Amino acid sequence: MKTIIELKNLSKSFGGLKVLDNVSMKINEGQSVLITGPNGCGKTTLLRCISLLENFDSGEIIICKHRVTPDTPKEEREKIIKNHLIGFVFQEPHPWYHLKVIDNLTKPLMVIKRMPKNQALKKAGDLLDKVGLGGKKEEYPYFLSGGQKRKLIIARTLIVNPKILLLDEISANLDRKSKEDIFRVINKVSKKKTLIIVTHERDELKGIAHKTVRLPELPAPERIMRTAIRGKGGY
Amino acid sequence: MAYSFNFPLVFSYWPLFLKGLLMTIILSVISFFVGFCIALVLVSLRKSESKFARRFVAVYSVTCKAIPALVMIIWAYYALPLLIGVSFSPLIASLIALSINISPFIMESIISGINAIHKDQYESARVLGFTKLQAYRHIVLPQVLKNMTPDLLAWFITLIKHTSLVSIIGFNELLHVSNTIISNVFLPFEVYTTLAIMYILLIVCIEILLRKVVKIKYKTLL
Repeated sequence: MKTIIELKNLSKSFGGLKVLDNVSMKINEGQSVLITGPNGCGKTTLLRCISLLENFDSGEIIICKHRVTPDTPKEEREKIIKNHLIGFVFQEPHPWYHLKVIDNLTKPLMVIKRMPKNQALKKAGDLLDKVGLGGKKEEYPYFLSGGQKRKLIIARTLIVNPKILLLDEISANLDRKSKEDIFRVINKVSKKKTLIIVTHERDELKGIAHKTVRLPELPAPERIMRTAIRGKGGY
Repeated sequence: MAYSFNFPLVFSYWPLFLKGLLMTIILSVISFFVGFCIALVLVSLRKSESKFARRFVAVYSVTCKAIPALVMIIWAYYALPLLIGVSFSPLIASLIALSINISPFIMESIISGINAIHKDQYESARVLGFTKLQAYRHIVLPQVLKNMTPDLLAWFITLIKHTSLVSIIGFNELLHVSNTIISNVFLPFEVYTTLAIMYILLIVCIEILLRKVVKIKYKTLL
């Protein structure tokens, strides 16, 4: 099996606090990997580094043969992002509230892929049917429940057909039925994709995981809090 | 002795009222537009990396908020020409004073509109493959505009009311025109009542119109 993502000695600090310390791993194409660990150990930061939203201090990431280091120029990072190799479902479900459910999916197709509207509507409609939101196409995301918003975000991520899907605690704050629903959707729509799932629900995802990576606990959690608060500042 | 009302005589001055109304609208729209442009510059300075730029915005904002609009109008008309050696017409002095006076308030509205948008909105677009410009154009800006529209509408209405202050430097807006009519007909009750009704009608019309436009454009629940 071919390696799709490789992390080599990845390190990342916020201020004086090391959040990721020499993290290395290899993930093969089609594999599902669970990332677990206590709160504040850097799981989300790891996903943000892999998705290239966050730069890192040292080490390297190889995504589908594209090598990324801390010094990789912005243009090259943009090129990797534009290739739709990675899809990222954030921890908090934040659909684009100003757009209808269907337009949340057609927008990326029409803007990025320059797809004609009719074609985009057809593709988006099919995917919404698949995730169980077929009846909500014309509604605004304000009126969706927490579970439905998550399904919408998953669909929006999948609409550009990424090879690798990063899922950050997608079942957090959901009841049992909604969690099962979300896991069923992931199973259904993400076949043949490489999944990296950050979760605390290890047992429930055992069925789809090929391996589990546990990030170690970091010392001085109060420093993490301070850094998080200091780093909060919008755009 | 009962006061006998004479509204028909006042209404016969409608061309003058209309001229005053037009001047009020023109002054409000231009001042708001200039104030908005200044506010955009202030927002970019406040969001910049430069400490000096952020401090400048803080000082500017406090100063402009602290000075009453009337003082600023008088200062722009009488004091500023002494300082720079160029005298301004009442229109230009009013424009300078009103747009500077409103700009820090508009800046705050824009910033709160931006801050109300969760960072994920932008990042989710970026990670999907939107360029920075596309992410702002299609995802962030429509939501910012939607968020700040009620605030901007309120500031625009405040500005319309502030334009009555420029009558003190002789600009021909509604209040100044009314005073001129009073000096001709000596009917202050009728003239000032007509003036108040005109302001009410103007602001109600603008509010209805803008809310309709916003509803169509951004489909808000305004």
